[in-house]
Amino acid sequence: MIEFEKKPFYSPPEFAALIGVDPSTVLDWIHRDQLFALHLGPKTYRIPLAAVMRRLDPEASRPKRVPISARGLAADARRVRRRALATTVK
Amino acid sequence: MRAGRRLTTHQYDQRLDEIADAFSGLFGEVTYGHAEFEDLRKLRLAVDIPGYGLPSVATLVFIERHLWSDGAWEMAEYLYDLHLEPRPHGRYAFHWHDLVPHRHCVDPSLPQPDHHYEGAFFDDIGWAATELATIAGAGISCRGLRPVREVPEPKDA
Repeated sequence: MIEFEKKPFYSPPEFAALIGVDPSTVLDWIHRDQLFALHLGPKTYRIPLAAVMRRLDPEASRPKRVPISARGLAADARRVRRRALATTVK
Repeated sequence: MRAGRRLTTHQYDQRLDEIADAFSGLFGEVTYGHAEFEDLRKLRLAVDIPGYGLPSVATLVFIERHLWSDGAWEMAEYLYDLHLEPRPHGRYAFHWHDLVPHRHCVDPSLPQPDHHYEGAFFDDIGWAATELATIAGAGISCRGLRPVREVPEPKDA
C-alpha cells in the first residue's frame, strides 16, 4: 500500500504521479472506462478518493457489511402491506 | 401499486452484494446491509463522500423496502437520498413510497413551503447514484421542478 496524502479529488497528473505512470496513461484509462472519474468539462476530469483507494488498496476500499437497525420496521411492514392491499383489492 | 422488481431470496441476497460492489470505488466509502421483520426486508446502502477518514462533504443513502408476495421479494418502496454535509446543508432525493414517485429538493438558500416535487418511477439505482453524485458536485438547485401540490403562503397572524 502506497502512503499518500488523502484528499477528496485528484487530477489525472496527480494520480499519475501517485502510481508512477504517465498522465496520458491515466487519461487513457478514463477514456476506456477503466478508471472512474467525474467529467467536469470536455477535458477536465477529477478522480474521487474512492477510485484512487480502489487502485491503491482494493481490500480497504471494499464495501463493508454492517448491521442495519430494525427499528420501525414493524410499522413499515404494516404500512406497506396496507398500501399493497389497497391497490390489489378494488 | 406499481409493480417493482421481484426477486427470489437468493436473488435478493445477490442484489444486495451486487449493488454494494457496483458502488465501491466510485463516489466514496460504502457500507450496506439489511434488516427484516416478518414479510418485509429493508435494504440500506450508504456512501460517505469522500470517506476514508476525511470529513464528509456529502452522504448518499439508499433504502429499498421489499415485501414478500407470491413467492418473491417485490420492491415496494425506494428512498434514494443525497444529503450535503454538515446537515442541514441541502438535500435532493428520489422517492417512491405511498404509491407516489416524487423528488425531494431542499435548498437552504431558497427555503420553500414544501419540498415535494413531481417525479417519475424508475428502477435503476445506478442511474440514481450517478444523478445524485453529479448534483453533489454541482450543488443543489430546485429550479425547474414542479411542486406536487400547491401550498398556500402562510397568513399573517
